[in-house]
Amino acid sequence: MHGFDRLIALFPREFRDAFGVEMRGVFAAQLAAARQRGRAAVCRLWMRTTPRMIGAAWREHRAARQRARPRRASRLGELRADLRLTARLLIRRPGFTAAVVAAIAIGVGAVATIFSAVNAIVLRPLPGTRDGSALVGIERRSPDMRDGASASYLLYAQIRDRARSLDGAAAWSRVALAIRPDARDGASIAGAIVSSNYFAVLGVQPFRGRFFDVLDDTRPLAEPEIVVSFDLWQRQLDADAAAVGRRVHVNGARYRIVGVAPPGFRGVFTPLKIDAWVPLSTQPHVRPQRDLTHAPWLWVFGRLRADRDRARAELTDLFSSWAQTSPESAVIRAYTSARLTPLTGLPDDARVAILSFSGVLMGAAMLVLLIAGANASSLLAARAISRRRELNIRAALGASRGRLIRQLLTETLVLFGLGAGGGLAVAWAGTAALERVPLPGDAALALELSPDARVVTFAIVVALAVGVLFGIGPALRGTKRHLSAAMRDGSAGATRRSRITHLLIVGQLAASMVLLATAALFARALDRGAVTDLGFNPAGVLSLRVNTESFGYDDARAAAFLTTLRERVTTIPGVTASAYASLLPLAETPANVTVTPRAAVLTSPTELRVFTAGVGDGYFETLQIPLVAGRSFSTTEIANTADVAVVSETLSRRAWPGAAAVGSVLRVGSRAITVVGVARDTKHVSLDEPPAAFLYRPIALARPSAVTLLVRTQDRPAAAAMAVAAAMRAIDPTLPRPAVTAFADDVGHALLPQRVAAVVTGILGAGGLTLAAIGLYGALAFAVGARTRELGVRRALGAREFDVVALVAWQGLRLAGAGIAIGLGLAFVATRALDAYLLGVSPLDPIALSAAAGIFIVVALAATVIPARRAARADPIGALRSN
Amino acid sequence: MAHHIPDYLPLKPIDFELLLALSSEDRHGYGLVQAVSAHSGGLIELDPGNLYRVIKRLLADGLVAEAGHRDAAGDDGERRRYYRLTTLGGRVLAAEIARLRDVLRDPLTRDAARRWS
Repeated sequence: MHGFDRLIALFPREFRDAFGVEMRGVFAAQLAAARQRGRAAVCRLWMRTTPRMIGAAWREHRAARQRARPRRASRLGELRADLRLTARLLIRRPGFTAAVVAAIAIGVGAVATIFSAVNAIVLRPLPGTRDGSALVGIERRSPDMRDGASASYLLYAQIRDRARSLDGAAAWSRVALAIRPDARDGASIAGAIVSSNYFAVLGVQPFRGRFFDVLDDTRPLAEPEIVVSFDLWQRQLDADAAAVGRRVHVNGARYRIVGVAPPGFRGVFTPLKIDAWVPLSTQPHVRPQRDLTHAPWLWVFGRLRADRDRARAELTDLFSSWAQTSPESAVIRAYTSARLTPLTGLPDDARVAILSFSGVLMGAAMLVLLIAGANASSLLAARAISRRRELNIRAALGASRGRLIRQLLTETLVLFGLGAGGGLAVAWAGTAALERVPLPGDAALALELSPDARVVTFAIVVALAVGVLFGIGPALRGTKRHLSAAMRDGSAGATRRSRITHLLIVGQLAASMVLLATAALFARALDRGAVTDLGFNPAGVLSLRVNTESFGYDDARAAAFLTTLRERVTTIPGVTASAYASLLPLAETPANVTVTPRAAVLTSPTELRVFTAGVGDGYFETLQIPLVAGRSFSTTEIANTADVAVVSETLSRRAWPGAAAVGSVLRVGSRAITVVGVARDTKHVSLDEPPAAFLYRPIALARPSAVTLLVRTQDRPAAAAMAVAAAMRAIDPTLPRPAVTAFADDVGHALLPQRVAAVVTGILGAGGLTLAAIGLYGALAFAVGARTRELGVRRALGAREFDVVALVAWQGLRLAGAGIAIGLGLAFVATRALDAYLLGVSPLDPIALSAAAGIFIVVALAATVIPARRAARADPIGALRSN
Repeated sequence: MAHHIPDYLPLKPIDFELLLALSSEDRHGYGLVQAVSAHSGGLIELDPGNLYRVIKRLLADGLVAEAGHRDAAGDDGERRRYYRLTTLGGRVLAAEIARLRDVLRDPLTRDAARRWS
């Protein structure tokens, strides 16, 4: 029977368990029967049974293997098994799991943060609107499309009433509002003055109450009405449902709150968050300087009924016929082309600029993601080798290669899925940090960048795509049969693997070199921007925006208030100079105006398009802008708004080449203006602009409007700021709390793109370099581990510690050298795209590039020397014995 | 569960023999070997391995079932596992017998038998 037990042992365990005893019983009975017939019968029984048992055992094994292979119906169950196995493996190797997930989280987080910002600024439709894709902004443009003009009320009325291709058109403009509920402090808010059909055209529904009734915009309401934003309703009105119908002070008059806009709706211009809307019929009160006839001050948008081309053609016709009867200036009347842009909350040119700038940052983030993917791929490949025994056993037990690949891919995708989750957390934190970056202009400027469903989808898709891209390689290589034998012999398989690993490492190093170069260039640009000669000195200057229009003051009261305010500010200790200005250089975009120089020697009697601003006496002293000829405005000239001007050097050169500008005369519209001084050129819009022709006119304080008070302080600007605010409230306690800011901060916003880019690419560069250094370190440590025996032999044969260090370090430095060479080559090409943002720093700037290369070399050396030293310190005898 | 009898047909000769052996009474493994051998006139001598491979298949298909353990009739005093024909097994066996009868009655079969005997 002993021989028969051996035959039974050939069967699969499962079969043995079920039938082993029975088989033994049957054979025992057969054997007993054969014995009765004699030895020959026993012999025949054995001869017949043995081969049949072997054959049966073999067929049983084959059947068991086939059963182990996946049946279509159980794919889901298999996936569940894979996931369970994956979870167990990942929990058992927390270090490995954390390393891969962290790498992916950094990469995905970088990409998702940038995408989130782009999504919020450029892609997301206006919240709360119905069918936002049919909404278009409508603009009059010059035939070359370069300049545009806003519309007067009468022009808007023509568009509204005549354009058949539009399903309604609405108009709006900004208005500064000071809103004060009874028995509370007032607040200055950004408001919009809108046509009564504004909400209807947008298709926005009120959250509470109602919007404006669609009525004749030119007829004043019996009682003026106001709609407030959801945000303001919560902040200032305590989210009180009874607030609707209540009256509040708006710019000194009483308005009735008729409705609350839905959450998220802040008007049609995203960067400016509107907090309240008043109808056009309130214009005589809130915008008394404008009118509802010919003054061009309204922005128009409409809802398309026909396709955009037909609407454009119809509106172009309408603008052309309008120009023949319009009393506007010749320049504006030439604006007969219609431009229709999607109403996404941003002007078209700003959208394009943001997209291309984001493209640069997105490229940098993509590099980090690729580095992270390559890094994870190396980790996965290293682990696939250490798991080869497990995989081989599973293959021997009948798991097909496809099954094993699916298992490994499941693991990879779970890792990358976790990485995507981590990446979203990074993106949440990243966008929160970006939101805190102060933006130029009004306090109302703010962006909501937080990720939405689109960003989440994007992050997951990107992570899984990268997971498949970088996970399929290790999975394929790890499941190759007989590779374990190849590895042991150190033959072709090992060489191929290390070549791929090296390729991945060099790729990571090269990509991080590009990132570093980019970050260094932005840092240089930031540096260059900080030392750029602005032409004026913002240090120590405070600025206070005062909108007397929103205080509800009439002309006389506004002028008296501004005069008193400046008088009181002058007496504050430490204040050395002060002046009013209609706008601030580098903080606001100046208006432009057409001037005709009337020269003693008329070389070319042409019109010049120049920037202009109104400034008060003391302006040039306050900002320390040197006058190169003539004088600045006198107090009387400001008081009378005299027909005098100070011109910039560039305007002086262009209008009167080779002649003295002081004493010359300019024509602006119908007025003849005498030049009394020439001021040095200053920056007005951006730091890298060429010197501009600029016309300073006396500021009209008698007309209520928004002006800025600039105050130069000698020391302790914070104390002076509080004194300035107190001075204003002392004149009229009902005024909203004033916001006094440091002018240098406003100016600093001009460097915002460079600052954002330097910080973002700096962080990305540091992250990318860290990942690449870890990759290099890991590869060397692995190589050292694999060569322990060889290094031990070398040491035993008399190699010094230094020789061993050199041997390993050489391997690392070769990789780093290849990385830096390829990286610099790529950087030469890639940084060309940055030219527009570098403020004149060359994309090949040697200081930036060598600084980047320096950092790179230091980190690469560290990642190389540490494993090399460890290799050298290893005990040679121990190493020999262990193998 | 409704079983479609023709799906099981034709039976393999060895399956047919086993089902036939179980049709009269429940049997244990060695009893099956003996019955099959007797019925086939000693032509089919089953080895334990293939016997239980077939039994395993017939069990999985639901044609036979275990009938519990009984004391061995032999001298070793072991308990043996007995097998019985299931209702499905009986119906499949009957269908196979009917099929074989049709085959034998077929003119082609008769003609071949006459010509070659």
